[in-house]
Amino acid sequence: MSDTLAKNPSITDINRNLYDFTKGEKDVEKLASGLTEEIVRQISAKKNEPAWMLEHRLKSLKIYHELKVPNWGPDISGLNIDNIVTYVRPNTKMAAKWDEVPEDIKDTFERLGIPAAERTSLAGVGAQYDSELVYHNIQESVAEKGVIYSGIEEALAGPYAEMIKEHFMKLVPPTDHKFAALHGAVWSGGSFVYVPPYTTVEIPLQSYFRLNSPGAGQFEHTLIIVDKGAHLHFIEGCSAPKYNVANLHAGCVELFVGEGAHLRYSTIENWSKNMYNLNTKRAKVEKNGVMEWVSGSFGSHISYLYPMTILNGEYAKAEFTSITFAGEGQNLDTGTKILHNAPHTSSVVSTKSLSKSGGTSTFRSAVTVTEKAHKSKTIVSCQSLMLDDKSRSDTIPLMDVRCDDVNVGHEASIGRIDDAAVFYLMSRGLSEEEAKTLIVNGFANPISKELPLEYAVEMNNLIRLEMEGSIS
Amino acid sequence: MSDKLLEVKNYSVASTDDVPILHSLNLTIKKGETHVLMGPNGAGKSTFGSSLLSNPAYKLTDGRVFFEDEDITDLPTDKRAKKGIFLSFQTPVEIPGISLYSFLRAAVKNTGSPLTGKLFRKKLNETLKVLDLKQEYLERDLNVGFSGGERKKVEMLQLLMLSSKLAILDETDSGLDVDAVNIMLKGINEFQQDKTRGLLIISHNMHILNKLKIDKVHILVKGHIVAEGGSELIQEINKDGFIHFETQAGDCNV
Amino acid sequence: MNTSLNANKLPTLTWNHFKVNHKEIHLSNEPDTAVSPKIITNNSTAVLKDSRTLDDLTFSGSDKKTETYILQNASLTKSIIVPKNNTDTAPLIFDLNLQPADKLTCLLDIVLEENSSANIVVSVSSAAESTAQYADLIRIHAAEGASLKLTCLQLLGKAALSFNNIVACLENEAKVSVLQIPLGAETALASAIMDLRGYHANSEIRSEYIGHLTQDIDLNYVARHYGKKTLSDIKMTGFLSDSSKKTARGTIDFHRGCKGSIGNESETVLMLNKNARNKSVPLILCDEEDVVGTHGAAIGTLDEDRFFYLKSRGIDENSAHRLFLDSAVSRLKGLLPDMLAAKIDNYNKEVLFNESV
Repeated sequence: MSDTLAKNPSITDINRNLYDFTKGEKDVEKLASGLTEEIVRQISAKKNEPAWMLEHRLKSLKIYHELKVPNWGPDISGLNIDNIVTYVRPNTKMAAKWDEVPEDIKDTFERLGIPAAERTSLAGVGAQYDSELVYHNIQESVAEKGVIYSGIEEALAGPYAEMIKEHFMKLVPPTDHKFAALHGAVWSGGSFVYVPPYTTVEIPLQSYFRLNSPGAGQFEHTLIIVDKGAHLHFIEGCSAPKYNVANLHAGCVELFVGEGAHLRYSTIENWSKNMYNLNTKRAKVEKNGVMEWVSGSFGSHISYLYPMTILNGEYAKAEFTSITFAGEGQNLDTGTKILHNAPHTSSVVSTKSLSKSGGTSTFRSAVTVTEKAHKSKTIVSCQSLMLDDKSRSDTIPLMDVRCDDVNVGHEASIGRIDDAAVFYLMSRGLSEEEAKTLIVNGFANPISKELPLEYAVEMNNLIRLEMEGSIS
Repeated sequence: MSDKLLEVKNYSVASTDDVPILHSLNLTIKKGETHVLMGPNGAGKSTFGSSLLSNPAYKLTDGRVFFEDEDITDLPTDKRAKKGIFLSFQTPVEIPGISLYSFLRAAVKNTGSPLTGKLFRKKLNETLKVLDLKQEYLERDLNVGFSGGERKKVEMLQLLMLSSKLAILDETDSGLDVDAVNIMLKGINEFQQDKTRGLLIISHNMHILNKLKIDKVHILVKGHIVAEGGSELIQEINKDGFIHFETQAGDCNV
Repeated sequence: MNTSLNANKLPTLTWNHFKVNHKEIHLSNEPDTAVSPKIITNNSTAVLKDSRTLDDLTFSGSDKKTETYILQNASLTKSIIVPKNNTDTAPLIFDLNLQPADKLTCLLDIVLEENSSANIVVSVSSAAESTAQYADLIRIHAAEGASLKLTCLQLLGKAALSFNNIVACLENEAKVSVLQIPLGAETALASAIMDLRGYHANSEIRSEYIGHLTQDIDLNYVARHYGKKTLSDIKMTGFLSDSSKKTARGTIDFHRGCKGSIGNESETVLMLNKNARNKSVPLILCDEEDVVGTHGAAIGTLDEDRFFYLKSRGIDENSAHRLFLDSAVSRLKGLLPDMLAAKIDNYNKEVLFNESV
């Protein structure tokens, strides 16, 4: 472990190198490139999973071959799915004790500050290395409340198998889009969380995803069920070193928020800039339930990411707060979908996006208010900041309103950093770079203040890194 | 028919999320009378005025309301308005898409004594003059972009055009300039000419109250009527404020 | 035989299942019926021709297939040329009155030479019971310093189809203001695409509609900023009653180099019936740093406070709807020359008042 991290347990002093270290792929079994029924059967067989799951995988594979890649959004022709090794498994079984995790993997996570953060501020931690979950732990006091936090594959063999079967890919069916179908066929690893009725998990649970092998894919499945009146904050972090070949992340997150329950799902995504991030996240919220998304997208070469909330019960609420920062070589197409499907539901969407050094950032959203959603309210606001004249920023919102007694609001703005503000700060002795960094941090502030401290620090550091050398 | 205009009996009101606001109020306004409802901030004065027109933000938890001896407790807002109850708003809402003229025309059509096009036009012109309002206002969207004074004038314009029997004037506690106050006085005086009408003024503004003929004053504290009397009560409050009454209200809660 | 068109294309695509990426329509290939326009004007300086004049101009973003259909089918072709420095703004009214089953395809080229201005109105109407098909393409070239006000009023009958297309190219300091009022027809498409090529070119688009019966209104507006310090403003206002539906696409497209440009877009939709349906897709595409783009939309019904206010004056929900209609009709009348205002009154009496609300 490095000295810096020993002294600063949380992720305070990161730099780009920290994410870019790589580990040799020793003793790792790789499946042949390309996606066939044979591979899918092989994956299933190794996992000792129930028969319905194999069926599900094969059905998904068939749908995958039938569906076309989207005709909208960023170009993903650089992703040749036939050359992607869809299944990489480190040579280890899942460990419940940190000491039992193999040295090189442990070292990776230590350098990312994961166990340190667990010691200080988390109720439970799961860590996924390539396509397998390598580490899972939950604080005793939380486990005692009946809160389940384990690997989803492990849970499939346990007492919650039936519950998983009832919910697995019910929110995101394989027919949703091509990459959801891919996920359905080859998914591997991920977490399962169940919070029993009226139980509050005071400190956050966290999953950390790390993709280490070049040309690999990560297809973890996260299933979280927050039962009636329960509270949970779940944090997801992602990173990968940079290789010259494309990597693919096609994970799937399904969140069930019960009556009166409250779930906050925070993500800081910093995949390396060769990543195709085609992740699907979806939440269904019952009566009086609250779903909050906090999302920061910094990494990836290409992203298609639109976490969706289905407000399915009266007075259900959704909040979506996000920031996307697209730099050189990045085309990040992010946003959200909200479906108001019950009376008195409400949603607030607030997003920020930044474009720099030739990066393209697109905000895309769809708010649907169905015939059932009487007296519902929604407000979407998105702000975009252009940091130079080489970059691009698009705003593509959509509102589909099928009910009359509702209130739908939308506002968007785009522009650049105010010269007068930069001048003002420079007149107080700041360099131009410092001034702009400060302004960008201020722009991002509404999001960072929603994050736990160590993540807010990480985000601000990421912004600082992105802004470095931005003044020509 | 008696000379009672408005009567509330055992009138109790709560917010839609069940927070009690008004407790068993009893109050009668007779034809030709002008009443004043006073009280500290948050006493429930505006709630009382608004609930008399069945504002959906509140619900009646007990009691009945009578207008000209008819039980109107179960009537919705527009039916009560058609009976002749007028409520002026502290802050009238902006309604884009409806011009003031079409709005007035429709509102007058709905009253007990609708006017023909020609008579309507005549009365409108006269009233505009009384209130010193320009014709141009008629083409603008209802209250959209109107200043505070302009909104007040437009409320008065409606009061006079609608020939209501009972006017409930909910006044802001501050912020009206001298001109606006004078316009209000003009409007109220005009309204008081007809002795079959009644008036309930919800106000703090001593300037207005001193210049009007007042028959009865009700003091509302924490949702209870804690004192009633003639205009001498106004002077008392002018001098000592509501402190004396608030102590009484404390007793009520015991 | 029919021609199928993916009309009113969204400049950048989004999810297909919302069906907003284009509007599919089928236009008849039967020959046009002869409709001759009544041209009403006191303007003596504009030159009218029966031929096309703008074939050599490229309008970026104009849909080629639509263009081809109009050019091949147009039985009515006119050019209006406003000579240099001519600033007679007396309205020039094109009044097209269609018989119930007519089909008319129209190509109109409007050429404004340097520093000229004009006020042109195109009115298309028919009896209330009508299955007419009307399609047009209005091409505009506004030379340096020229200014145009163009109003398109559409009052076709209840079963008609209308497809009104405007493309414009604006040079330095030119200004084009378009007002589209697609009141009539069962299927009413309206679009305007503005190429802001010159320095400080300025485009303004207003769209006003009153969705009624089973009307399907489909709008597509694009302001393409190329020149420096160009300005655009798109404003769509309307309400939807009965089972009407409306799709509005509005795009501000900032191209690299359009430094100092400003684009605004706003939309207000009042929903007056539970069966009405509204889709809005307001895009801002931005490839240039030094710009300001804003968009705002408000969709829905009157909130409880506003309804309470109206009801406290004795106005129930039905009368309130009626009031919105009356106010909208009188506002639209105020925007048109007297002769056309009378047409709106007629339409109001025959269709809106009778059938709607």
